[in-house]
Amino acid sequence: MPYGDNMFEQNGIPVLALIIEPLVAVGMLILAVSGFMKYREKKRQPTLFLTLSFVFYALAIASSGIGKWLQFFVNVPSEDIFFADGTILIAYCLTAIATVFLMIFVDLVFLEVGPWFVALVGIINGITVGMMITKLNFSSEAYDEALNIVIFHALVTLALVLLLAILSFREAQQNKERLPKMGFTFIGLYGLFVSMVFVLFAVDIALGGGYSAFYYLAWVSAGLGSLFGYVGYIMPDWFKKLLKI
Amino acid sequence: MPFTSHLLTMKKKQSSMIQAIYIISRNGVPIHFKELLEEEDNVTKATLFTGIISAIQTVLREIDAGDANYFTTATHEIFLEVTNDFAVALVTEVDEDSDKQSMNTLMSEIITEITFQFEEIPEIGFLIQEDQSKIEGIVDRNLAKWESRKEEGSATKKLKDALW
Repeated sequence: MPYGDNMFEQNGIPVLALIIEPLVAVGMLILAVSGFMKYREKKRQPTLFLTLSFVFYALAIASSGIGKWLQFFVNVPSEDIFFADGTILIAYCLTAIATVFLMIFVDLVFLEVGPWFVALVGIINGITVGMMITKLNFSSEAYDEALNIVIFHALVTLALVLLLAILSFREAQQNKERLPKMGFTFIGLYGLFVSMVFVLFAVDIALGGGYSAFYYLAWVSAGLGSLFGYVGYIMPDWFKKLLKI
Repeated sequence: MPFTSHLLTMKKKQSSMIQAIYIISRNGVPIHFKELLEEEDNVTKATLFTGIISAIQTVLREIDAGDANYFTTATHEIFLEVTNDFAVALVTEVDEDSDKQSMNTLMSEIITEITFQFEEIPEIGFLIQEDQSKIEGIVDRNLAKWESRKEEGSATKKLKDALW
């Protein structure tokens, strides 16, 4: 059900969208900063690539949010410039890069198949970014014109992030020690909720892309994913105390 | 390195720690053996080896010293678990970091499954082909599970090192 008609909105952007996207971006930014601090402390390759993936995910969400804010507040006729659609395409380019970094992390920690896997993911997502850039513009048609590429990107990302979730849940299941068991469970949940973001956006698009309930659920899922990611990857002291580790 | 070769190398590396698994009857006859290092005289070696284990067990019983469950040579470590009907022996190369707990778990799992599937193992160790295959299946399955656990463990180690 599109909420656009019965909620306060301007230039086709609901106020709630202005709030929820920056909130999730801040959540992902906190994750990125925490990851960077971990990297400074540990100086390990997996931490570096994981942090880079958080940075690019945070930038992607910020890009999408900035588009909404510009669209909402800048009074330019949408026939001339439509910020929101163009910035979504930029956001997808950034998520494609983030996913490559995330898969380097997956390879270093779980798969250990080396450059072969990473190169394949890099090429696929590189093609996605290239195709997305050719379609990039700030017209109200930008998103529709790039829809096939967006669907391709969503499917690839969904498969890869689900791979992270499956590997993490398997690792959690095999572990008897409490800390890694919980850590991997939350990393698995992070993967699951990030995957759900793409599924929920797909449902929103299928319903006409008009800020339906699924659009908001997608962002709630992203927010929960960041929270689970923070607990699982960063494992803050308060959480360790909670687990009595 | 090609993907498949890499996986094969990984597998070999993980398996190389355990060099052989022996299932031995109460009389010291090898019921089943699995050598993970390829050598031509496996059968002779297995027979001799199980004979040695059996002899050690017999001597220990004679002097009332109980059953041995672990002993080493200059190059190998031998893990042993004895039941009423049979014994399971694991031979590994000497390794300071060897995980004794995981070896014992592997042996216990093999014993549990054999005990569950066979009412009794004949003292002379002679089994029909079908039963031999069953035991082979049990050993292979549990070894694969053990290898998979080792692999899983390494991800845990890496994240403990990199994040937690």
